[in-house]
Amino acid sequence: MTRAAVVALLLLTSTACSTLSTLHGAEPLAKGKHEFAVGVSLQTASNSFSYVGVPIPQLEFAGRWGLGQDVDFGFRAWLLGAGFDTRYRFWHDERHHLAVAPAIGGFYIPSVGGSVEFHAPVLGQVDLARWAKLSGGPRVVLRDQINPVSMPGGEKGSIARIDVFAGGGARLELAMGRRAWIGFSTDFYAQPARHAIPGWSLGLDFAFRKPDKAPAPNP
Amino acid sequence: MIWLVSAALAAEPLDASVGAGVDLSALRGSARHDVAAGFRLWGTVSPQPWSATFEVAVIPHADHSGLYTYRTLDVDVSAIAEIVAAPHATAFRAGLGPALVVRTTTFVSDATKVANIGVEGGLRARVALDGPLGKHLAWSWHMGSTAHVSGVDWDVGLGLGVAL
Amino acid sequence: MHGWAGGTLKIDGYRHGGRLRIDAAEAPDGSLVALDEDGLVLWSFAAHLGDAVQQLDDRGYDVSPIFPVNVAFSPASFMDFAAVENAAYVLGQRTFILFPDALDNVPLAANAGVVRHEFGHAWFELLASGESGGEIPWLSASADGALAIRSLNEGFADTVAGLLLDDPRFIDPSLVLPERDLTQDSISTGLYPNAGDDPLASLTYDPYRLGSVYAAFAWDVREATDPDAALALAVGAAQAWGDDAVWEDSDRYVLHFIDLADGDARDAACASAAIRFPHLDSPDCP
Repeated sequence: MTRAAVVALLLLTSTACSTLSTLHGAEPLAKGKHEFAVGVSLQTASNSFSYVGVPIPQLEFAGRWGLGQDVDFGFRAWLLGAGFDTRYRFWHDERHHLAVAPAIGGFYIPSVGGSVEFHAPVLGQVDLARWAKLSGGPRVVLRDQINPVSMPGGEKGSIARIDVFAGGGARLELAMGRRAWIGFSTDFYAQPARHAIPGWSLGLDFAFRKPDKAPAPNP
Repeated sequence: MIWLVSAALAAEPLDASVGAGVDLSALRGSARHDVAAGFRLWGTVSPQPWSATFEVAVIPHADHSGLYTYRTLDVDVSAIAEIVAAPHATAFRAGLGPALVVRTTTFVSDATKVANIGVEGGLRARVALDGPLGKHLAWSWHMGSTAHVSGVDWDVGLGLGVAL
Repeated sequence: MHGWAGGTLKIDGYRHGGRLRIDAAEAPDGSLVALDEDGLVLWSFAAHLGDAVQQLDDRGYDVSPIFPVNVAFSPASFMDFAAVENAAYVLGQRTFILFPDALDNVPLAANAGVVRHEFGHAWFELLASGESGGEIPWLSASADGALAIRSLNEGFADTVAGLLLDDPRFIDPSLVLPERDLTQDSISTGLYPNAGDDPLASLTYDPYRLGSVYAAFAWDVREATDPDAALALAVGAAQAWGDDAVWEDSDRYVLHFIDLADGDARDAACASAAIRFPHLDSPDCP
């Protein structure tokens, strides 16, 4: 690997990254069930290097666990950061689901800085068939990035910066057999806080989980 | 976490609650948003499928340098009409309502001191989750946005309160 | 001047941000004070920029082709992975970039000298290329040539700031940087870029070290004459260097400086060049 490639790789992985991709729908896992997923995507704005004009690839690993009727818990790790969320389904019938999944994430590296981010997605899902689910909805992400500043001459300080992503995403999930699912996602976000160019994501993910029974409709 | 979820799912939804919590706010300035931590008081009455939430947020903020100091205090008051969905004790709320944003600013330097109060009307939107915590307590999470004359503020917070 | 909140700085240019909104209140002495620090920095930057343009106009220099300019506060850019307190000028874009205050002293973007330094970059572009906001002709230079031109650009910008304020340590109110002191005994030997095709060496080259030698050279002439005389020679040398279009040789600026000088100025320039640029051989010096 050339020295330039090493530098580029170090810079890419040292960035304050978020992820803008949608990795799941609105239907929580039943109690005791769990799911594992891996996703790849091309994104802009979530990684600052994309502002040179090139979308940056992102790799994510996610796990989910059903905690009770209508609620599950998720963990997600990406380059560079990690987070968790709780998904709460507040309405459903036999084929439609509505949920909210507040999330928190971030990362920190000493001497580089870090960020903390809060997500508030409201998700809707339509079960097109037992093997196809279409989901999506609006999402707001607040990200607070803090970096130390060290000047020649020894002066030190820090700068905090807010990024707001306001938009949403959509995802189509198709079954591949009984335990595996493939997902195609697209997301688009305006950046109203910094008036920056919009961010977007195009993603592909694979999820592995045990099949669930059909849920009972809302009382 | 599982105990909390079970308690929240098993109990009845709140009819009313009051509480206080911590907020992280992004407040509109001249050229960007300043990040500030504050606290928020809330009161919710919930004759489902609607509810009304009243909020008072107090957000202090300061910028210091060796030459001057800015001290700012934002007090935001809002009343939000919400739709509610609560298949269990935990309720999801989404709503919109009027807001009043009051900002006091003090600038102090060796040369001068300036104080200013700005009052602006606006519109606030928020989504929230809340529910009982045990027999008497309540919890709340929210993310919101307040649009006023100077710009748009954003906030996210967690709180604890009492069920009424 | 157009001020913007945020926006996006891409490789191919600046994408405008949102509207600035600087709220202010009246102080007891009748002056207006911005109600937040970013507004104070922006106002200070604009005031210093206006003062710098007025100073140049009073001295007969026409910098109007540089305007209108954009001033973007903390735009989104590939540099977002880190944070910096600074001000910058984007060549070819007529755009100043300001970053938030992070330290305790005068914010860099509100420092009278730093603002004049950044304007010096805009002026260098105008003098050396003949236009502002157009194609930068020295982009065709080699990697080493481009780095040397960066040094010359930084040196010229320091020269403009130091001479307009007649202060060799104009950065001091914000940062104490002895290496940027225009009165220091610096020489150019060993400071020229020698990166070849090594991209890592290009990334780590510090243009301010050689740039400070160019600036100190001009200050040596100021000390023998006066700020206006030294500035006129620096301006003429930058223009002549640009007219030459020999982008691989930044030291032609020094030779033009000497050629344009006479009397005490030439004596000082020759003496300074003999020390600071010992490899140079000017036909105009004994």
